[in-house]
Amino acid sequence: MIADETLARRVQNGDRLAVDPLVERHYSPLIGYLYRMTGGDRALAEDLAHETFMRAITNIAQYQHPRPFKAWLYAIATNAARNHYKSADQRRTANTDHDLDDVPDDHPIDAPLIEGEEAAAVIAALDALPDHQREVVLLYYYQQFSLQEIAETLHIPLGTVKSRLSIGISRLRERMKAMDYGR
Amino acid sequence: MTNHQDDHDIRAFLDRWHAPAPDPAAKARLIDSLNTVPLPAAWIGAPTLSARARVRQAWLLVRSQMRIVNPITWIASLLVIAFGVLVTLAIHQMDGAAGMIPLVIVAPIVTAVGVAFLYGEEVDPALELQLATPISPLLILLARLALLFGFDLILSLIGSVILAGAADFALGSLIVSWLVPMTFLSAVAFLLSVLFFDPLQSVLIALTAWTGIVLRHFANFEALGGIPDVLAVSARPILIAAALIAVIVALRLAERDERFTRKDTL
Repeated sequence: MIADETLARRVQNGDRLAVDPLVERHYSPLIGYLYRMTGGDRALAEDLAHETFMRAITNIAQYQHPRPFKAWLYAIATNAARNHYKSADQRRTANTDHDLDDVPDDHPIDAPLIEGEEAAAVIAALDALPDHQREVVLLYYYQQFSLQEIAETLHIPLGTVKSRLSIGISRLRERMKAMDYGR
Repeated sequence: MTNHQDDHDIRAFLDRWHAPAPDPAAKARLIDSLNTVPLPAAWIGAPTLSARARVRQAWLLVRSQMRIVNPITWIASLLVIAFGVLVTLAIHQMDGAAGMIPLVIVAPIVTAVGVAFLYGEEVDPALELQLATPISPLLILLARLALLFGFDLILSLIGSVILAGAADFALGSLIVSWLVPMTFLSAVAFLLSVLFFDPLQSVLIALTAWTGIVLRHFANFEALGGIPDVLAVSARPILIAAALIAVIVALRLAERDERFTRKDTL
């Protein structure tokens, strides 16, 4: 299989055929990441994924080969999500007591896809995390990024990734205990 | 950071929230949109050209290099080859001996010197500008090589026709006698210019090698007795093969842009 970085280099050289494999590989995981970043808003996740790929391909000249393409793509996606909430002021503030009952009727969560209260509990627990911790947790657990990849994606030192992940996990555990989940 | 049990519990907890499968229609719309994005090279890439347009493009490239190559190169080539033809005629008329043919000596070295001077900081002030164009440096190099070699080839052919008419040389044998060493020495000079990026160094090495070859063949120096006579008729296939190898190696090296742009652009 041709490496992402090689494909990105080909796109830089004007090879349009190299675009499709990049989309095929990353579209679905990116939707998953953005879906969780947006607290379960599928339509918004698709819009942001669309925006992410458009930005990536439009600005492909800025990609620095041979640095990891995936980290570069997710950095764009993360910024797109941050900018969306910043500009529209739509980011929900952390609410440690958030649960499904608190969700208003017009909340963007894609209700049919949330599998009952358990999924709602996860959403609430993640939503309780500050943005910078939630990003690290999502990339580590859902996107299977290594700590180094997270550092490259978020442009932060490896030590910062470790501390954010550690604190994020601690907070998740507190939430799990509060919900009487697990041990 | 976290122990294994914590990690397992966290993963099990988070796995309760599944992301939806992507909407194929949304992905199709994305791909359609991406197809409209102009890619970096798309606007500078050459469109598919017809054979005629390609010939015209090649001609335009070669013609552009005519202005770049130092005019002294053309004049010097013309004068030296004309001189070689005249001396060959004079020697032939003096003793009628066909063993020594100055044209065979001058044609290769004139071409080799010209090839060596194709590139270099001192001889090519326009190179940096040309390297900034979409035309690859390798193509520019090849265009110049073809231009210079072609010019000397035509001059030498004309000289050979004159000699065949005026001094009863066998035209075919005469052409082969200078064409093979000219090809060899030009290829070596080409390789040297790509290797060293220094015209003077390339010329010195090519001249030294050619002097040794000529002395070995014509003068029968004892000191050079151990060196094979590459101007012998039997050595011609070896010369052609060596020329091919030199050109292939030079092109492979030239493909690495930094090798022959390092002094001008970095």
